[in-house]
Amino acid sequence: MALKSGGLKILQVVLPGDEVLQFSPNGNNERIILGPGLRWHENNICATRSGLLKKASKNFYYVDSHQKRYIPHEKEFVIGIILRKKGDNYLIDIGGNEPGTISCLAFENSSKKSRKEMKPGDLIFGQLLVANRDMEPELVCIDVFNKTVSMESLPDDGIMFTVPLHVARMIVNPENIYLMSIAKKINYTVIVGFNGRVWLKTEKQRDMVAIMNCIMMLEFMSLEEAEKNVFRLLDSFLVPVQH
Amino acid sequence: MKEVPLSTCEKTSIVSAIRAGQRYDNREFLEVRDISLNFGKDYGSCTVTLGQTRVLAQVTGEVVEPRPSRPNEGKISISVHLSPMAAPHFESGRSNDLVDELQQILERNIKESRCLDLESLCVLAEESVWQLRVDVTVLNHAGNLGDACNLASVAALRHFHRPDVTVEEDGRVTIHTLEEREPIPTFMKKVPVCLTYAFFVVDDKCYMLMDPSEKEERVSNYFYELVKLWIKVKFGFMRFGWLLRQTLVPPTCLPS
Repeated sequence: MALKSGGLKILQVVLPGDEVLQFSPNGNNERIILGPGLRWHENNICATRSGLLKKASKNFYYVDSHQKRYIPHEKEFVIGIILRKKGDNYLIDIGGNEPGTISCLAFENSSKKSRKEMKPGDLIFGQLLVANRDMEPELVCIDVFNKTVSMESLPDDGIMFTVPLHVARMIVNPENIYLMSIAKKINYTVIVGFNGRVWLKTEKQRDMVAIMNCIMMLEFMSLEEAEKNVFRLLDSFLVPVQH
Repeated sequence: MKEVPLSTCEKTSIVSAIRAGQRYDNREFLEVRDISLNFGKDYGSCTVTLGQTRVLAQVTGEVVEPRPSRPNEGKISISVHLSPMAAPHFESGRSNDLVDELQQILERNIKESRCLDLESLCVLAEESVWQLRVDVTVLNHAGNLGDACNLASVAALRHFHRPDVTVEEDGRVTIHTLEEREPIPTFMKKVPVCLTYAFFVVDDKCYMLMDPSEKEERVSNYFYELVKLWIKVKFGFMRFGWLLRQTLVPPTCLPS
């Protein structure tokens, strides 16, 4: 079964250890790029995770699997929770094995004299600068040009929840109209971290809980089912509960 | 792994949602999540699903010597296991507070309430009695482990059938296999039912939530466990302090 969605083909369901194809490099510039979940060993390409084998472009293959635990990667945007201040840095929990650090100066308009003050328990949205398995992850809230680019500490009056990683990747995909269809009914601000944490804010408390449940439904529904049902779901959550 | 810390944003949003009268999963304040009980092929095995929380209880029995102080009573031993499968911050082997608490709840509910007739577990006075061992394993932690463990162990005990035993005149004891003779069910005089409530004290008003989910548990001020023994109505209270503030719960919100 090969479905097309903007150049992405879903090839087959694989289990760990399944051989996907035989490939031996033989000098005539034939190249295959292997993404996450695939491994090349002794001329065989095997899957190391269970999930759907997808082909993104002409020669790029990867396995898309359900995962809840986050493994930090460079250049990913994540939402972190501040644990405590450690010298000139803040210690942040990003959902990985180790807490990450962010320097007090890694914010726009901060210098040695005027620093950004944050308390333990605050939320911060930043980009991972360093994230390999041998070092502590490091975050920054500015880009190369020292501009904020919407990375900052998040105010306290939103709602934050955790979704599995594949749901976070699904809703961030620009071809995906799920978040847009929710926006037709309710105005809201959403920030999605690649570590599975999502932060939402609307004007009314009830709307926030409704949208939160709609996004969490994506864990068990496919995208087509969710798009059909999104308005029905929203209405059911917006009905006021009697006490 | 350490437990993921609770951010200020999550705490304030749960409390303000409760003040507005709403829970995250759209339940009523006094509504319990869906409960399902699945019994295994062997006698004495039960899996309870309370929403996303899953607990497995297994009862096994063996014949041992009785305690010298109580020569014609059987024995029950209960043990709770928490592994990293239930939640990433649990460490198997190391005893932590939650394991002690759950063990305390189960021992109080099942042993101290004397709901099981221990004298019926006697085979030969002063020589051999049945020892029932209840092993409770938490498979997934999504809030309200006390209720789920209690439900699983009570259901497993009621599901358990012990093999039939014949005592000869000269004192020999023969334990029959399940194929030879019909096994005997355990008899419970009273059935302990455990209900957990979480209290939130907001602006001098107290809100009572039944069957708290994991986040609600972590944010709540107080926890009350009500144990009701069916048939013989007897209340037991147990209070665990998750004190975020040093104030006492106002007497108006104590359940009647």
